[in-house]
Amino acid sequence: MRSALSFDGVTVAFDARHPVLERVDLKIADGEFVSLVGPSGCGKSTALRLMAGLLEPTAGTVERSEDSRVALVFQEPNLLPWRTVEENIRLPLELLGVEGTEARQRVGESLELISFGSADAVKRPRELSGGMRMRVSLARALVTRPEVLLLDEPFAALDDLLREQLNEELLEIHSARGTTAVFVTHNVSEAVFLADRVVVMPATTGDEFVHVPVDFSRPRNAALRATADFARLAGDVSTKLRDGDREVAR
Amino acid sequence: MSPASWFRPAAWWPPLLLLLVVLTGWQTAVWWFDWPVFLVPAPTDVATAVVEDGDRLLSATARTGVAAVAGFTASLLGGVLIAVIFSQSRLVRASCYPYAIFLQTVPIIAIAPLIITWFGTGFASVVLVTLIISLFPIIASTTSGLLNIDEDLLELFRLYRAGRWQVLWKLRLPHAVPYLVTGARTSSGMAVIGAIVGEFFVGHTTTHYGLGYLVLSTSHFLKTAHLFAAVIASALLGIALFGIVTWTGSTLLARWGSGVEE
Repeated sequence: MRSALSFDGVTVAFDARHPVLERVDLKIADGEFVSLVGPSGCGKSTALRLMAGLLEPTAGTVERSEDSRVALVFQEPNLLPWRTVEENIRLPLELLGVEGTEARQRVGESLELISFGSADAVKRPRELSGGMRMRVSLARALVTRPEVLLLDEPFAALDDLLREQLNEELLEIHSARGTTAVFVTHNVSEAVFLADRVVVMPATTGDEFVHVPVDFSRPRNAALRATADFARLAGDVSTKLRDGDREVAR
Repeated sequence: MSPASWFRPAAWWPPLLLLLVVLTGWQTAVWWFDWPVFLVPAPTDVATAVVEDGDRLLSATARTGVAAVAGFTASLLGGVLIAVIFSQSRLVRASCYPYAIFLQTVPIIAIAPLIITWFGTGFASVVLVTLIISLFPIIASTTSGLLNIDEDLLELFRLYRAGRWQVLWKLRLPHAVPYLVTGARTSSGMAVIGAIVGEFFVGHTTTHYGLGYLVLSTSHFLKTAHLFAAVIASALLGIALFGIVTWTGSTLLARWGSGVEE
């Protein structure tokens, strides 16, 4: 399978003695959904920024398929308060020079993905709830029809119920679009529910990444979370996450 | 109290009531102690002076008002332009910002002779003094609005390969608007002070004069009631300009989506 993203011996060091990532190899297949988990400060966000092209590796190479469009969803919605929902979603198109009918059509498409009606489209961010703002942030990322969608703990600030709901919406969008997705999270259950593969990053820089395949069939829904298989796998990921942390403690 | 609530009539009653009490006390005190009018005129003396002096007061207020508005407008345009230049280069900012602060601290009385030497006395010099006095708040607040931007938002713009111009136009400038409004409110108050102080030093002829001259001449001739009238007119002018700027700012911010919370 063609890989959408690959790291080959990637090192990032803001200062020479304490690299954030060291000789990392990672391949993400086209259309794959990967969850990236790991203890705080292990370099999850750095890895995501490398994938987005916002950061250059100190050594090694980051490869993306030819001129693939990448979108990034942040932990905070980061909407522009002076723009309406619609105008916020249109922003990436404006920056990329997509205008006119094409832009209108794409914005409409994005609004539909998050089930926003025309009344919601003209609201300002401060008139929206936290969950609604996050949806707009997601729609803004999707408006360029990205091949790779990078998400940096996007639902961390939301309550559990809303988080689970948005997880399901995200999966629907993922299956409808066939987008490659990399999802950084602290929440193991969320990581397992979403992904084709969970990648556990080590607490110690330079240690091996642990890959846990998730073989549950798609489409997935809330019922999956209640199954014994799901609990077993989530427990397995949690153990690996703790093991990584314990290495450091020793 | 938030700026927007100043426009609610209910907020006006307590200060008006207090004014009434003070005026009554003042009138009574003048009558009781029999103070001479050149020392402490009674409110009724001041009212008479306002009526007698009405035309002169109005034309002086208008003249000072025009100078204040002209200086304030120049500050607004110049301040935003300077802030934009500051925001584009760390080097320019590091080299020039200290001088902007210098501008803020230089005593106007010290450079007044220089202004007169270069520009003569009159309207243009008054506007220049107003500009010097009211410029800094605009530069300071707008610069911080242009620079104080969330790193995530800058990354978002970089992700879509936005150029410097797009970042300025679509992110920095709109982000700076609430900061500019705050700076403009401070600056508008200072513009009226600037215009009056400017008239003190660089601004009057005997045929064309504003409130600054009126304050100066009435005090020279111990026409204290008329002095009070001029002071009241100055205060009203300051309140009017501040009110207009505050109202415009609140209206703008409400549409901006980051309106002043009440």
